[in-house]
Amino acid sequence: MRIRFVFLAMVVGMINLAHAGSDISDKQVRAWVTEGRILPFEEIYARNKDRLSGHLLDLEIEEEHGRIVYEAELLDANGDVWELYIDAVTGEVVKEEQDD
Amino acid sequence: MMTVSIRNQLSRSLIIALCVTMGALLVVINWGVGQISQEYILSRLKHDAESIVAALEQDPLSQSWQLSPRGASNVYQRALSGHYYLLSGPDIEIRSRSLWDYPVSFDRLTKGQENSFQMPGANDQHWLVWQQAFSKNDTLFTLTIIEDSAPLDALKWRYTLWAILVVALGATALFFMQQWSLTRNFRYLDSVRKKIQAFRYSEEKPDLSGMPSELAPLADDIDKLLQQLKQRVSHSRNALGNLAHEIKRPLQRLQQLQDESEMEFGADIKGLLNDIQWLIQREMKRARIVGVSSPGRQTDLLIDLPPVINILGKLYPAVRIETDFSSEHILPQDRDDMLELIGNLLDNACKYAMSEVDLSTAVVDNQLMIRIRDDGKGLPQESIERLMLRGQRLDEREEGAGLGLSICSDIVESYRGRLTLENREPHGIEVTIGLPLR
Repeated sequence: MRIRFVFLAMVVGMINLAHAGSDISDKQVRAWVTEGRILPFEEIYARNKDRLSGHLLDLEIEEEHGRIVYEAELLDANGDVWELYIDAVTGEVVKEEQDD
Repeated sequence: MMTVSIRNQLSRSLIIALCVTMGALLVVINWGVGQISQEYILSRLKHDAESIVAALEQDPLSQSWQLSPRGASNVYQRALSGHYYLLSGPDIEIRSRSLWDYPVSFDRLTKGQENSFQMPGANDQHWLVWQQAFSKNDTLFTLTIIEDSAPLDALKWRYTLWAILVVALGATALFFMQQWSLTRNFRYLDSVRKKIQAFRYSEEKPDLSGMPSELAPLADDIDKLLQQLKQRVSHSRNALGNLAHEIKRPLQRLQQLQDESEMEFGADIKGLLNDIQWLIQREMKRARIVGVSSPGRQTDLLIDLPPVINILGKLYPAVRIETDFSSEHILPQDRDDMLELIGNLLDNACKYAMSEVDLSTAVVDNQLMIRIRDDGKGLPQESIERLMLRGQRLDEREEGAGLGLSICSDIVESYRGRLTLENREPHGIEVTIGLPLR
């Protein structure tokens, strides 16, 4: 039973991963914000102003293991491009990594 | 009454003029740069609007409106890129992806209407909005295009800041240049003042030429005034001198007559005559003091004294007059006073001398010492003490000697100096005058 649950979760996860590659549209995002499922980006920006203060290149949103995560692409003052992962529900930075 | 200062007035008007013009300049720069950047952004927005209008098409099957992918540039795709559009028609609203989840809505316009305004936007951006209403296939749309003008606004303020800096530096430089120029021009007035001061101690007319044309009339007037003052002083001196001189003989004659005749009020008349003589002396002394404070003239013993010595040499051929001015021959005191003082003393000395009279000058402790010695018989100590009292005559027959010494005392006193008379060894009299130097 436990094994089956893990397997099921893996399958769902795989589906989710597959889904993550495709872009969730801005329309969907707006719908989620209206439903109150995620925070409006304005709110996320206000909370992480110091980290997002570089040149924001683009935003993408992904659903990963049932968690909705913002992927912000930033160009900092040194010329480095960073990817900042922010939890769209709590507004907390999940991880930060330099783009390859 | 408040004193008027040309410097303060000019400085104040310059500061006001600078503040007004520079302030206006800064406002124009700030407004102009803002206007230029805004117009620039608007022209770009209008071009983008044309592309979007062109890309808007109706699906022939579903009759729904959509934008063809080639329509708008990539900046409208990247989330919160600072470039946005919003196309609203009947039952349809097409937002650029870049708007992301930012809640925004605009009033619809009527056909052909255009509109532009500024508003605060997402992520601290300053939005410059341009709106246009158009109709395609009989359907009315309102297109709203937005660009973030925050970077250009920052640039505008940076240029304004630079302009403030330049203007402040320029204004300061102008102010100091004006001060410098004022100081330089007022220096001419200082030179006039110095020349006029110098005139008090010499008879040379100050050279007031070379003034700026604005000051030339003033210099001219001062020149004329000095000339007039000089004339007046010499007129009044001459008049007083003449009067004293003319009145001297009748007075002496009166005194003689009074001495010779036995009159009822003899003592009274003698007293009155003495009073008259004293009054004349006092007025002459006053005139001399006035002379010192008005354009007077210093005394150069080497030039002014020889004529006096010449006359004395003729009057007293048996007496040789020796002079020694090696230490000082220019006296800052008035020439007429000094000649009267030294002349009188020399005259007295010659009268009593056997063969030689000695005149020398020295400067001791900021005092000018004039020493006159003769080799006569000298005087008894009590006569010396009596002589030092004013107006006492030593020898009735040689009239004028006592009066001479009294005038000398007055002159010396008018310069706050000191006159001493003493016997010298082995015989003769030594008169020493100490006059303080300025």
